[in-house]
Amino acid sequence: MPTRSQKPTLDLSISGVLIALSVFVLWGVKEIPPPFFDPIGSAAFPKYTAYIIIALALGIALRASFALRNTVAPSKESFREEPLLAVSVVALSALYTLSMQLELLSFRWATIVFIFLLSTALSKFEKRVMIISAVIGFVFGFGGQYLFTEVFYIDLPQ
Amino acid sequence: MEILNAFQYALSPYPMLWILIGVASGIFVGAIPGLGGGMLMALTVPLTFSMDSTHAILLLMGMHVGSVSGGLISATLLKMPGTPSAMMTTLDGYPMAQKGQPGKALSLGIGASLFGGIVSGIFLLALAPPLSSFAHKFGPWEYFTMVLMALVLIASITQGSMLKGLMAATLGLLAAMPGLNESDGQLRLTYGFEAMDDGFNLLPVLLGIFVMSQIIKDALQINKKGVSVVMKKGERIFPKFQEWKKHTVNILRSSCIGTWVGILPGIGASISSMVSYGIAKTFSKTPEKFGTGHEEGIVAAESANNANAGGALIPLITIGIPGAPVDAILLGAMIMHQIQPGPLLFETNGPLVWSLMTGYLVANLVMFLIMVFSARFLAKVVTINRAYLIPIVFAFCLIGAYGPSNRMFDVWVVLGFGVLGYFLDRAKFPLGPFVIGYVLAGIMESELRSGLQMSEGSFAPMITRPIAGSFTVIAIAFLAYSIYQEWRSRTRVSSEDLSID
Amino acid sequence: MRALKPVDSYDPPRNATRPSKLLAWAIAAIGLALAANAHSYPERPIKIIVPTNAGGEVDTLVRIFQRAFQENDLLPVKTVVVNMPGAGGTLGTRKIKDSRADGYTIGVWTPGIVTSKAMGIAKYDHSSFEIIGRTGYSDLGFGVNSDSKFNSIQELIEQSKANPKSLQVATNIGLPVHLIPLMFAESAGTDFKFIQIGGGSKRLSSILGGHTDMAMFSLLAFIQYKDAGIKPLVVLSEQRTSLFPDVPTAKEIGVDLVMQDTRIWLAPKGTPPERIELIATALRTAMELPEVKKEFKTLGIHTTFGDAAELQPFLDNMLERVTPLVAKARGR
Repeated sequence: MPTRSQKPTLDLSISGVLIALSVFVLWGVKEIPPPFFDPIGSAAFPKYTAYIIIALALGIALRASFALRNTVAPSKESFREEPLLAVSVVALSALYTLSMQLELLSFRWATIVFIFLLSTALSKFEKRVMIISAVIGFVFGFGGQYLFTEVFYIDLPQ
Repeated sequence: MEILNAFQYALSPYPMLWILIGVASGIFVGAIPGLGGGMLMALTVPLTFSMDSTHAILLLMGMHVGSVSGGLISATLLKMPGTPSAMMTTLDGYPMAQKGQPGKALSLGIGASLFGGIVSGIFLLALAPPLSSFAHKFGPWEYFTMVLMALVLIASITQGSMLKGLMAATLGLLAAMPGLNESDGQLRLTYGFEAMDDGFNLLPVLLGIFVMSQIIKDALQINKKGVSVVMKKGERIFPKFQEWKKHTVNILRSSCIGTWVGILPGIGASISSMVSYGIAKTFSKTPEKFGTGHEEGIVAAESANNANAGGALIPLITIGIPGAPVDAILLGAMIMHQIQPGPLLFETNGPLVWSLMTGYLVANLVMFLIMVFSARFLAKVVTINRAYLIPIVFAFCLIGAYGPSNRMFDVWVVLGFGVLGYFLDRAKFPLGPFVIGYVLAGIMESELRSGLQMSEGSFAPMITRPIAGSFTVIAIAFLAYSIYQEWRSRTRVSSEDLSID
Repeated sequence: MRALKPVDSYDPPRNATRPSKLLAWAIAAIGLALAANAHSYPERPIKIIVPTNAGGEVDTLVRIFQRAFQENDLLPVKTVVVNMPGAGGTLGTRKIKDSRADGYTIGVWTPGIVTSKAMGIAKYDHSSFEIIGRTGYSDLGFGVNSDSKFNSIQELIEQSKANPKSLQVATNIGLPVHLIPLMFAESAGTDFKFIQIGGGSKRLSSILGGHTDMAMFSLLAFIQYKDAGIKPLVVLSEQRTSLFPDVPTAKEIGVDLVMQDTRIWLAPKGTPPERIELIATALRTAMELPEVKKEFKTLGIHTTFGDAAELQPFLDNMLERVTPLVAKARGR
C-alpha cells in the first residue's frame, strides 16, 4: 500500500483541531482573575496567543483548501510505512507508564515486559528476535533499576 | 589569564573525560539516522543531577558538538542525514562516495567540521565577554523586543511556509502558558487539575518534541533503509591539509556565516548549512558541479553546521536565550544546576563559562580525532536495527521525565507532546520554532509585564528606548518582508512546503 | 494537643555552643533513638520531599543533613531525598500534606508555606502540617547598587515618602522577597513600586544594570556580590551583624520588622509526636556536628535549631501580617 500525499487534508484537520484547542483555551482564560499587580494581567497572553492561532489556522486551512482542488500527484516513497507500529509504540508506552502510575508493576518488571513486547512487535515474531528482546529487557530492567537508583539517585517506582 | 586557566582546566583529566564521553556518544548517536543530538542531550540532562555542574555542562556541550558532526557519516555513506543539520552534506557527500571516493568525502567533511568549530570557538571567546557586559544594559523592554524579534526571525527564516513557522512558534508559546504564572503568582489554565499547577515542564516537553515524536516516526518508517556505500580497505580518511589551500576562502566564509546564524537567537545548524551552501554555490566558479559530488559543497555545509554550534553558545551565555533549538536543553540543564545564564554569568559562574568556552574548542579537536579514527567503525554502526532501540529510548524518556520531578504526570506530558510533535512534523510544521517559542514564552511575557509595571502601562518604551527600538524595527521589517514573500508565493500549494530542522 | 517533651521547653541559644549542652543533647539523642527503636520506628527508609530541583538552595541543605545522618548513624535507616519542584513549591508541599502520617514521609520548605496561602496558590498553610523544626536561619537585608544615590535607608525612605511609588523594588511576587519589603513599607509608612523581576540572580542583575533601585537579598549575597557592585542599606535582624557593622537594623530606624529566611521541616498532620521528636533530635544533633557547622557557615546560615513551639508564633505572625497586605495589594 503506497502512501498517498495526505497533506492538504492533514493541514485541514490540524487547523480544525488547533481552532478547537484555542476555543478551549479561551474558555479557560475566562477563569483567570483580572490584573491586579501589573497592567495587563495573566489573561492577556494566552488570550492573544489563542487569537493568533485561530487566525493562522484559518490561513493554513484556506491554503490547504486551494491545494485540495489542484490535485497533487501522490509522492512515491521508497519504503512501506507502518502506521500500526507507530500506534503500538504510543499505546504500549502509555500502558507501560500507566502500569507504574497505578503501582501494578515495579519499574523493573514493567520495563522487562515493555521492552520485550515492543521490540518483538517492531521486528518479526521469530525465536531469535524474541530471545534478543528478552535479554535486552532483562538487562535494562535489572541493570537500569540498579544504575538509576544506586548511581543516579532516582527514586523509581518500586 | 582566565583563558589560560580555563584551558588548563578543560585539559585536566576529569573535564577531559566528560568532554570525551560527550563527543564520542554524540558522534555515535549523530551517525545513526533516527537518533539525534537533541534526543541524547534531553535524555542525559536528568542523569547529570548528581554531577558537578561544570562537568555536566561540558558533557552536554560535547554531545552537541559530536552529534552535529556525526551526522555527516550516514549522510555520506547512506544518503540519510544522521542529524537534520547534515542534510546539505548528502547533496555532495553521497555522490562523491558513489563515485568511489567515500574516504575523501568523509575526510573533507571531518576536516571542514574541525575548521568550522575552531573559527566559531574563536568568535565565542572573543565576543562573549564584551557582549555580556553590554547585555547589562538590557532591561525588560530590551529583552521583550529581542525575543519578539527572535520569534519573527525564526518563524520567517524557517524553510517552507511562513504561516506554519509562525504557527509552530505560537503553539510553543501556548504550551508554556498553563500553570503557575511567574509575573503575578497566579494559576491559570489548569482546568482544576492540581497536577497542572506547574504547567508543562521544560524537560518533558523537550523529551516529547525531540525524542518521542522521533521514535513514533522511526516506528512508522521502520522499513526505511539507506543505500549504503561500502568503504574500501585502507582508504585514507585523515585529511591531507596541504591540499586545503583552495578551500581557505570557502571555509572562512562558511564558518563566519555559520557563527553568525548561530548567534541569531533560535536558529539552528540546518539553516546555517543551507545558507552557506547556497552562498558557496553563488560565489563558486563552477556552480554547476554542486550536487554532483563537489568538494566545495561538502566543505561549505560541514564547516557551517559546526560553526553554528559555537555561535549559538554566545546568546546562551550572554543573555540566557538559546541560539539554536538544542541549546534550549543546555539552558534547561544550567537552570537545573542552579546556574542562571545571562549577563551576570561571568560574575556568578566565571570559571564555568570560561571552561565551557575553552571546552568547546577542545571538544572540536576531540571530535576531529575520534571521527578520523572511528569513521570506519561508525560506517558499520549506521545500519543498526532500530527495533531494539525504540523501546529502550522510551524507557530512558520515562526515567528522564519521572526522575527529576517524581511525578508520572511528566511522563504523560512526554507522550502527549510526542504525539503532537509527530503530527506537526508530518504536516511539515517545523519543530524548531515550536521549541524556541516554548522556551522564550516565559521570558517574553514576564519581561513585557515587568516593563509595563515600570512604564505604568505604556508601550512607548518599545520604540523610545534606543536598543529596544532597533529590535522592534528589525522585527517589523522581517515580518513585513516575509508577508510580502508569502504573498508572492501564495499560489504555491502547501504540499510543496519544505521544512527541515 | 501534642505531648510536650522536655525538649519543647528548651530555649535555643542564639550563639552559645557550650560543650556540656552539646554532650547532653548527644546523649539525649542516642537515648531517644534507642527508645524509639523499641517501638520499631523507623524500620524503612524515610523519604524527605524537597519542593525544589536537585541542587537548589533547600536541596543543598537537606543533602548536608542526609550525609550527616548517614555518616554518624543519627537515624537507624536510610533517608531518601525526593525532589518535587514546581508551582512555587506547592507541588511538593501538597505531596507532604497528602502523604501518610506515619513518619516515613517528611519534607522541608521555607516560609513560602505561609505566603502561598496568602497568595491563593495553595489552600493550606503551616497549620495543615506537623512542624518538626527549623534548621538554622539566614539574615536578610535590603540593598542597592553601590553607585546608587541613596547612601542610607533613611534617605531612601524620605525620598520614597516625598514621592510615593517612585522607588522601584525588584521582587518575585508572592514570595517573601515581595512580602517582606511590603511589610517594611507598610511599617515605615511609605509605598514602593514593585517590579516583578524573578529569582535571585535576576534581581541582582536588575539592580546592577540600574533597571530597578532596591531588592531584598540574604546577607550571604551581599558578601558574595560586593565586588559586583551591591551594598546593603538595612538588615532585618535583631542586632547589627558583625559582617556589616555600619549597616543599621530595621528596628533602629523605627521599623518593627525582624525577619529571617528559614528552612522548616514538616510532617503530615497527625504524625505521631514521638516519631517527630525522633527526627527533630536527629536534626538537632546533626546541627552540632563540626562539619555541618562549617558547611552552614559557607552558606551563611546560623546553626541554631528552632523547635515547633518557637516556629509556630513566627509563622502565625507572618501569616497574620501578610494576608491583609496581599488583599490590599490585590485590591488596587
